Amino acid sequence: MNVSRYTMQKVAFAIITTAAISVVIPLVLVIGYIVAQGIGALSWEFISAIPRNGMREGGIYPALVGTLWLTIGTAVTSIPLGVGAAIYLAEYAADSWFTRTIRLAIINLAGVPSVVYGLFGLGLFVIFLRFGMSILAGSLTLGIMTLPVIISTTEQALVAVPQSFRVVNASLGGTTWQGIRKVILPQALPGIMTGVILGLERAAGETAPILFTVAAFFLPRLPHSVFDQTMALPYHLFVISTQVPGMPIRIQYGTALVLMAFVLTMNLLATLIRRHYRRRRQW
Amino acid sequence: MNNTVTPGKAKLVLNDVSFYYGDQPALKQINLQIYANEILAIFGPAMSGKSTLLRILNRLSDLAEEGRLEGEVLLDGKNIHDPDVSVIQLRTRVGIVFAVPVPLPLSIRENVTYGPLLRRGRSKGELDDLVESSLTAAALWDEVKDRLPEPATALSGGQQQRLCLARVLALEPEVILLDEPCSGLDPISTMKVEEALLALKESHSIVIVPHNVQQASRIGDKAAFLLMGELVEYGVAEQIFTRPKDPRTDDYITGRFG
Repeated sequence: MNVSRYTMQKVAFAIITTAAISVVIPLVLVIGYIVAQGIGALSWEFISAIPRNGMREGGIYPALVGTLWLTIGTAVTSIPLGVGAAIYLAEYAADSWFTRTIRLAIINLAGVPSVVYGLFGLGLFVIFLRFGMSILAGSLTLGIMTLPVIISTTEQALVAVPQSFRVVNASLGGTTWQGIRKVILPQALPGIMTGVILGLERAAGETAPILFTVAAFFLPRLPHSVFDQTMALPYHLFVISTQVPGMPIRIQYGTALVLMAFVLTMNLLATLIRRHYRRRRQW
Repeated sequence: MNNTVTPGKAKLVLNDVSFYYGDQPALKQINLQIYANEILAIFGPAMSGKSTLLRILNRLSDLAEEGRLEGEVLLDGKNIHDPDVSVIQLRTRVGIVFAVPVPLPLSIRENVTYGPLLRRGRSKGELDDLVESSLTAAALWDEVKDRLPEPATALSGGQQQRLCLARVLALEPEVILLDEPCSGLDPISTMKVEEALLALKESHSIVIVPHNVQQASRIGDKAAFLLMGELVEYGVAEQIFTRPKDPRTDDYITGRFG
C-alpha cells in the first residue's frame, strides 16, 4: 500500500506541474507573437507622431496620450471612493444587513460586463449629465468599473494587518481613525497600491466602457480639456484592426505591443512596490 | 464575604460588577477596591475572568462584541461609564500591558511617543525627556538609548515587553494594568519587570494578573483570588498566601487544582 501512496503522489505531482507549465505557454506565445509582429513598427516616430493617411502611416501619439489621461482620470475618480469604502467596510462597519447589502452590491458590480458599463456611462454621464463624449465621462465610467477591484483588494490588505495593532492603539488612547492613519494604513499601503495598480491596468486596456463615452475614431490632435474627446489605445487597436481597409499588419501589432507594454509596465511597477515594502515589513 | 481592606480613599472601586459575553457570564458581582501605591495581584485558574476584569477597568471591554457590563466602576469616585467620561482619556489614565508584547511597527522611540503624540501640544524637548524617563522607569533605557530609531521588532521578547511598559508609562497614567506581563519572559527579564513595578508602585496603582502564584506572592500587596468569574477571596497578599480563609483558595495555592 505504501508504494501506491508514493506512486499516487508522483502522478498527482506530474499533473499539477504540467498544469502550471501549461499556464505559462499561452502567455509566452501571445507576448512572443505580438513582439515578433510588432517590433518592426516601433520607432520614435511611431509613439510621438499623429496618425496620417487614414491611420495607415504616422504614429499613435494621440491614442497613447489619451490612454494615459484616461488612466489618470480613472485613478482620480476610483481611488478616493474605493479606498474610502474599503476602510469603512474593514475598519468601521459592523456586520449588519446594511454592510451585507453593500458587499453584495460590490460583488455584483464586479460581475457586470464591461460593455454594460459603457452603456451606463453613455446614459448617465454623456447624455443625462451632459458631459458629452469626453475624458470626464470615460474616466468616470472606467472608475466605476474599477471600484470593485480596488475595494476588495484594499479591504483584504487592511484585514491582513494584525488585529492586535488596533487593540494597542485603543489601549494607548487612540481613536479608531488615529489608529488607521498612523498604523493600519501605512502597513496596508503596499497591498492597497498593488490592488489599485492592477485595477487601473485593467481599465487602461478596456475598450467597451470607452466605446460610447470618450473614444474618438480618428482625432489627430491631443485633447484640450477633460470635456474633450480623445483617441485611446484599445479602441484605436480595434479600429485599425477591423475598420480600416489596407491597414499594414505591422502597425496593428505595433499598436498592440505599445498597449501591452503600457499595461505590463504598470504591472511591473506594482510588483516592485510590493517587493520594496515587503522587505521593510516588520511583523 | 468579609474582606480586609486598607482604610483611605480607593483609586478604583468596583460595585457589583458582572460581565457577560453573550449569555455567558465571565464575572459575577465583583466588589473590589484598588488603592494608590499598591500592587493588587489578581490570580486564579484559566478562564476565571482575570483578563476580562482588567479590561473592564479601562473599558477595553467595550471592544468585545456581544459584551455586556452590569454594576459600576468608579475611578476617583467617578463612574467610568458616565456619558461625560471620555473613553480615550480614561485609557490614558488607566494604561494596560498585555501578555504578548505587541510593539507597533514603528521605531523604538515612536512606540514610546505614540500615546503622547495622539494628544496635542508637546515640544520635542518634552518628548525626549518623556522617552528617557519612561524607558528608564521600565528598566530598558540603558539597553536601547543608542538605538532609539531602530525598529521595535528588533528587540528581544523581554525587551519588547519592557518597551510596552514604557509605552504605557509615557501616557503618565495613574493606574497600570498588567495582564500576565511575564508569561513569555525568561527569569532575568521577569526580575527586571518586577523590579520596575516595585519602583512604579511609589507613584501608581498597579493591578497585575501574574502568570503564577509565586509571582503574585512576590510582588502583590493585596491579592484577589478569582474562580469561575467569582471573587472568592480578597485581602492582604501575605495573609492570603499564608492563611487563606476560603478552602478553595487554600486548595489552589497549595496546588491541589489549577
